[in-house]
Amino acid sequence: MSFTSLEFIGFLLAVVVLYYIVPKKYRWIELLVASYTFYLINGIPQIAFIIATTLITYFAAIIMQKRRDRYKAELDAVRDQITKEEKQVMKKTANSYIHTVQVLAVLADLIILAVVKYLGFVLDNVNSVFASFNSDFSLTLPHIIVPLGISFYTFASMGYLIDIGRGKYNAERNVAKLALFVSFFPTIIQGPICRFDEVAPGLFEGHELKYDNLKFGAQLIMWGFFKKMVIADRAALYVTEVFSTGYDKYSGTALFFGMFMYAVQIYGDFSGGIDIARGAAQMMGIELPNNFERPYFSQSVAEYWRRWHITLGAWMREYVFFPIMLSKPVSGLSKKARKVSAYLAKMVPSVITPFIVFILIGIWHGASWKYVAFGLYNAIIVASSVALDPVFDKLNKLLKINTEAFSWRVFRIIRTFLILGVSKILVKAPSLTTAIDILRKIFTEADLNFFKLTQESEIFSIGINPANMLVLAFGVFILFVTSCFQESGIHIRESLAKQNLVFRWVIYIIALILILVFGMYGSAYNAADFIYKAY
Amino acid sequence: MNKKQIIRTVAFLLLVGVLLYFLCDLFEYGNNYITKRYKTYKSFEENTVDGVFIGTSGVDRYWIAPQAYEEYGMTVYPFSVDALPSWLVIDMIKEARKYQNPQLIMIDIRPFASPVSPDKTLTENRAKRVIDMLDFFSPLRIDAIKRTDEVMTEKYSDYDTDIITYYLTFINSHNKWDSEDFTFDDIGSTKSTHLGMYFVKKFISKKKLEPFKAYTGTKELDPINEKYLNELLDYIEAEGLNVLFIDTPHNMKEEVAMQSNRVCEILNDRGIACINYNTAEGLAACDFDYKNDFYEGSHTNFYGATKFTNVLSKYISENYQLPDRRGDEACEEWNGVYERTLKTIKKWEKAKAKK
Amino acid sequence: MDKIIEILQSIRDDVDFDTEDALVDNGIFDSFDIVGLVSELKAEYDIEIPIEDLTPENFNSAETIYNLVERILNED
Repeated sequence: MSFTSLEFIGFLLAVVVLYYIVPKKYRWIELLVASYTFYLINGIPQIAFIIATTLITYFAAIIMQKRRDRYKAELDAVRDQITKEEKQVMKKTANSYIHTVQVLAVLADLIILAVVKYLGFVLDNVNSVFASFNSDFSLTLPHIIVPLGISFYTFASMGYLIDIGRGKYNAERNVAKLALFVSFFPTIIQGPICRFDEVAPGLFEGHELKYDNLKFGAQLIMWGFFKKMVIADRAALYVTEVFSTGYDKYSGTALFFGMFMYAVQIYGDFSGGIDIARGAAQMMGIELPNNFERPYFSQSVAEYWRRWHITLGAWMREYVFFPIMLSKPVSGLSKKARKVSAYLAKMVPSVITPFIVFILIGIWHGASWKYVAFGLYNAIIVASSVALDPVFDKLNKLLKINTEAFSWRVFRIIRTFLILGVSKILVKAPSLTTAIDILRKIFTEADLNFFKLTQESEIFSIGINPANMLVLAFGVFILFVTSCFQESGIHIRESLAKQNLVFRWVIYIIALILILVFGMYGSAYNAADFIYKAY
Repeated sequence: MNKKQIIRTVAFLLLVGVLLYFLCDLFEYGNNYITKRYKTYKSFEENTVDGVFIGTSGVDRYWIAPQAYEEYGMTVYPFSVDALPSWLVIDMIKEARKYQNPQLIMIDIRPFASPVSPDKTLTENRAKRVIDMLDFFSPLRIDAIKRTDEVMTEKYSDYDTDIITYYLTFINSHNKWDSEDFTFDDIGSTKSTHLGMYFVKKFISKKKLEPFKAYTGTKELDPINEKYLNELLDYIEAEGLNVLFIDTPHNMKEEVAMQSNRVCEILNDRGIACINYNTAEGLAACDFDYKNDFYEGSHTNFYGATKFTNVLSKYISENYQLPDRRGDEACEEWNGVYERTLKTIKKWEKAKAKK
Repeated sequence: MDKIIEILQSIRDDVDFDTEDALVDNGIFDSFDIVGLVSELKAEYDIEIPIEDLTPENFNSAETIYNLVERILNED
């Protein structure tokens, strides 16, 4: 069920109405039923996977919690009678047990994800190795339909397990409540990836019907529809055509412009979907974390990954980056490097870790070499910017660049956008080799006639006619202006609520008209599916 | 939630309802002239239209109502929709009878003679022309939607359209906004100024054709058409309506012509009046100049229509007693239309000759 | 507290740590800086800062960092 479909609107309406009819203390149960219903609508056999992950996670957490509770009780009993060293031993024994359970459970969840998503890719590569030795041996995998949201709910579950392992909070005793956390339907399609302690109160406490929640939630959903149906799906017309296997017939400039269009499309699509998810949750008084903060205003690639797909970046930071950077092996390496120079001591971990993190981020996106390349590319940029930081610093001082100036910030924004544009091409192109060819064309086959806006111009022969291009430009303009407001700290929905009734209603009606008239829906269009749905 | 908020929400939702209604009106499926023709018919005073001619474009490209009125004072209106599907003919008749009390109901045979297309989108869109034309809240529109849904389900195994897209057709037609034939004229009532006849510049163009063949022999009808023809005939007999089925002259494939003949056979068996102008006699009566009188194989142009209207209106005057409405105050707006029509035709001809 | 500020200055010498209270939220300290800080704090106070405490709330200002260190030092 796509977010931008009549079915989903109907489904959401029913769920919201039922939520407020059911007595407060059972409202979380209504959400659980709704979430599983939603999941089953999308495919019945796949429910086995999410149930498996939920159960593994649940039992492992309970086991860890029981061990921790036992440790605490035993410690309390003998607290004044034993030495500090003995206390350390007790702690270590308990922690090592807990840690083992945690690792096994995380591994189990991860293996389910890996088999479903990546085994095919691995086997393909194994087979091509055999083929290169002219062997007939090949392995095949039965066709598995990727369960909805498996990347998202697996990561949420693994985060929960690691948190329990660290003793951050207590394990959830009620398996149904944990099941709700894992399967909550607004987050199942494309996130955000939630932390258990952040969303649990919101999910499990029944919320009172508040006018503002309904209103702001509905508005956020509308905004998501606008971004997806008017902007993203329209840009998709150009993007799918120009990055198809027929890309060869288009000029380098057309492909360069395609990079912009893809940046617009992927942002509109992904952030629009997140808005719909958050708006849906908000209508029931539940707050989900934000996943985007105007990412294209980033001044560096590192900053970009704090503004784009925020919950994934945060997850990586919390569960991969910090643990690796602060781990004994890495600290040990750093100490050894300190013998050579202080700079190296800092650099070695700061360069190695991004590679691990970004390659993981890369393959999280998909089972293909182009995603590995995508990860590597980002890693190289981030690692080198850390390593070259002092060099750039000196350069700025030498050239007397005012790093506070607005123009300098604009320069950095544009530079970052273009650098990331390359990485986006790596992802969007049909394959890694075509991506490289596309990049070659962009740099060698410029055709400035592309920007001559006549009827015959190439720009209007790639899926979008002038009228639609105008609508798209208008939509992007609105998006840009709104983003500028938000960047300066203005909360759009709240400020709008303060304006006069007539003004507000005019805005809402205009927004509805824009979506209903210019939205890419109906039999005339093949609306692009949410790009992240099969993750 | 307090009372004020509830009132506000309800008021806003009503506003949204109005917006949806407006969008349906603005983005209806069919062409402009279909709605204009319909709205003109609705605007006539009660009991001023004595005859209606229900059908496909085989009606309004053929029947020049102002000409018949000019000659005989008969008020016979073309109440037609392009490619009218067979299961919606009865709804058109019922709709016509809602506003007027015509003594004579002429019915185009084409809806029953052409088999239902295997292309489900085409079939659906043809039905949408009628559905969008009818009043948003009228029970006949709902009936038309239900019937169409039934037919589509029966005929197409991969039919998956949401029925809501018929009620809110802008869901599929909103993409018209960037097409050339979309104008804001489409809103509100804009009456046809030539009593429903097909009136665009194309109507004076000519295509050289070979004389039509008159096929004999019959063929079984498409089962859907047969079902709804029988339903229509039952309705006609139950209501005691005075009807005349007509097959206007056009170029047909043999198998379609044979189905047309079959319709006439069925009608004859049930004692219902029928004239098939595609027989040898019918075509001879029209006396067409095949190089001059058609703009395409399936439709006469203005010149062919003039001839046809002559023939048919003469037949009506000799066989039916439709009152002469000239001098009737209520039919004031029918006066002088033919003159205006001829004037505009002359203008078009002049402009065309210059090119 | 002064020691904390001294350590912070050694990481970034262009920030006024007496007044700055949004080190993480304003992007002044990124993840690498936090790791560096944690190593320095470990070297100076011989404490292990658990990863779940590496939050913006705990690292946004010199004061919150000081409080965090105090808390860990006083733990059993």
